[in-house]
Amino acid sequence: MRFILFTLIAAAVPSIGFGQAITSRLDNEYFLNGRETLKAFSKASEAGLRSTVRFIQNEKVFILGTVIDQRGYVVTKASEFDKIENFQAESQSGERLAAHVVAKNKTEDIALVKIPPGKVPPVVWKETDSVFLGQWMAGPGNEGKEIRVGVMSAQRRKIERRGGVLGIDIDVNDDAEELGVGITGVHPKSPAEKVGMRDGDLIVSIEDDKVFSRRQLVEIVSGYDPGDTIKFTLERGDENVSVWATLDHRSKIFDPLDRNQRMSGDTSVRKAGFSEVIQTDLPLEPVDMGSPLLDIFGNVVGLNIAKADRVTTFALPSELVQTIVKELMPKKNGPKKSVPADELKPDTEQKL
Amino acid sequence: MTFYRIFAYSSPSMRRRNALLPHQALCCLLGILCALSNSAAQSNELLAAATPATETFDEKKEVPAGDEDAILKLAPESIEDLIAVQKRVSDLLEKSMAATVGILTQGSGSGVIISKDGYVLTAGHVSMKPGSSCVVVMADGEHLKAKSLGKTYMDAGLVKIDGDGPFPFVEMGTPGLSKPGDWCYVVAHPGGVDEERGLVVRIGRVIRRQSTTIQTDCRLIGGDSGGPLFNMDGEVIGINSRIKAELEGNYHVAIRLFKRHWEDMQAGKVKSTAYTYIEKKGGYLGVQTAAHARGVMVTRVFKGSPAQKRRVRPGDVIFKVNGKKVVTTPDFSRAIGALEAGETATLTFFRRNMETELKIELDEFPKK
Repeated sequence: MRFILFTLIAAAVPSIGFGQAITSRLDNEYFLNGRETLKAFSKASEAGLRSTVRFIQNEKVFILGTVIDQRGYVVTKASEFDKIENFQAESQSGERLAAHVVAKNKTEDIALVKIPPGKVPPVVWKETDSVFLGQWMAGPGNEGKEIRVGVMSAQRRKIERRGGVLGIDIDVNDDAEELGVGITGVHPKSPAEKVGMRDGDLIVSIEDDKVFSRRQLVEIVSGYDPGDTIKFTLERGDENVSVWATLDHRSKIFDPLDRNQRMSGDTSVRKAGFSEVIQTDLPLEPVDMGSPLLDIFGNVVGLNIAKADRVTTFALPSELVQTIVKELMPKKNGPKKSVPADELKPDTEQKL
Repeated sequence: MTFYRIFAYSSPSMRRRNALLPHQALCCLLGILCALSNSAAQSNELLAAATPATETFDEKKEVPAGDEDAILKLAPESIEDLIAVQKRVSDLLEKSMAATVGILTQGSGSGVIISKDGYVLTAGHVSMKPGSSCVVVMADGEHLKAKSLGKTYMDAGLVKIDGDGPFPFVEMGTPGLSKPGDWCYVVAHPGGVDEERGLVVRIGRVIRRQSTTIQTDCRLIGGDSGGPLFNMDGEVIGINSRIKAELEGNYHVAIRLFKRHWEDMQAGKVKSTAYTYIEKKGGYLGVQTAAHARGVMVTRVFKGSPAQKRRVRPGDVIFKVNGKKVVTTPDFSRAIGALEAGETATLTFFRRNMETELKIELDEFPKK
């Protein structure tokens, strides 16, 4: 009896196998990002991986960096260092290197980090005036261990800044003439929830400005950046309550509600507000940002700066990165010790 | 197994409505295909033989236009081969982009013009109801009025731009010629039409070709739906339809369906709704169903249908039709489809775990 049962199962399995043989499927290694196809990208792979470092905190890679000169200067994605205290760099060979942040430019989200000189070969920059739609592009993925390829997928452009968010829904029928705007919902894990804002509260002022209309509320709040702490005065029942809320990134609060974002897996928290980007479809993860964007010859045309969604990765063009680097470099005749990053005020940061 | 249709919805209310649409039946059908493709992936053992990439290349050296041999290789072997592919796409891209459009209905999808007088191929779930009006956004941003025509099962849709044109267009490919390993590219509006950004290009390879579906590694997302998949001659070989979470899970309706059902679609006929395979032959019961562990679960009961009159309810799990077991949704469709209007279907089902039986006389399909 047991024998008969076994043969029946055995007969059922090959029939499925047969079905597969008819509809053939491309072997994984011949996918665009498969092992065989990637062999043709070997120049980009070698050049890209050798100049990429991993930044590590508590034995976890949190972002990559691109080494730009023999002295050990590295460019990377600044916002990923916001909550990082002690970190190290790791070269391709696995060597751990001391590292510290020299300076940051928050406007373009670039940080300059210093590692010991001569340890990691620098990249070769290339101007981007000749990049074109459909051009092959490459960048280090899998935490800087393997190359990933795609194309320049859309025209270069500015990505508008996104202000900070509070994480509330506001009354769509609010009377614009009356003082205060009603809160109709508080999103989970939002700054509003953290400071105890409630459904039914009326926001009557922000800092010292009285708030009358929804539009005014949106304008004031989005004028601030994520991370800014602002005072809100709420009318709750018969009393007034003041709270200080630290605004968050729009992506953190509202991406879970966005269908396309849900289809995209993890994306970069800071993915907007760049004065110019080259868009690619490189299949990179948020942790792979800060790495070089290369052409097929291994020249670096940009710095991967944000994974925006399943099909979109932004890179800052090489010219922009080099301009910012010049600003961030410690001045030649200045003090030898570099300025702590948190004392540097980004020059163009402003409130609307 | 989660399947996403790739259509950018503009409003949260639309999103909610969409969430309620019972199109699980198709998801299930596709779920079966996907399960197969997954196991195929696992069974493919590596057979890589190391061929070192050519290291020498003169950047200024001219690559002959359309280097066919390089493009036909299973894997590019050198930078020259890569450039040949890139150059071919570049040469075709201008024409492909001119014919690719955005389609604005309740959401934002894509499409491609395939005739001088403005017929636009798209996905069935983008074109919405036949006869409804929509807006076609040309590559240069111009908005044109258009009308939805017919659609078929497996998500093929057709739209006609008002007026006679001439409009920029591309040719449809010959069905069945593309094969795994072919280079291909997608042009469309991921995330919806964005005038600052414009059209978005992706290059990839055909992973699998089935009779009505092509799978590629050209990654897609909401808004890409309805956009064209091109072969290396710049002909449309598929229309973006749906994705899986895996990066290589990008599925396109094969051009075959558009050609086969062209006249019906042109006449505004609906071979099926966009989401479910309903054979409109035989008698009419009036339910939509989804896969269930114990049979097929009713997800929707249509107004005025025999099912509604006899009080079939969403949630009922049907496991027998006329005493014969039904296991999958196609089983069920076939069982009902085999009966004519006026004949009686005896449904055996679980309702709140109680086995129940109902005799229902089937009707004619409603006219619309």
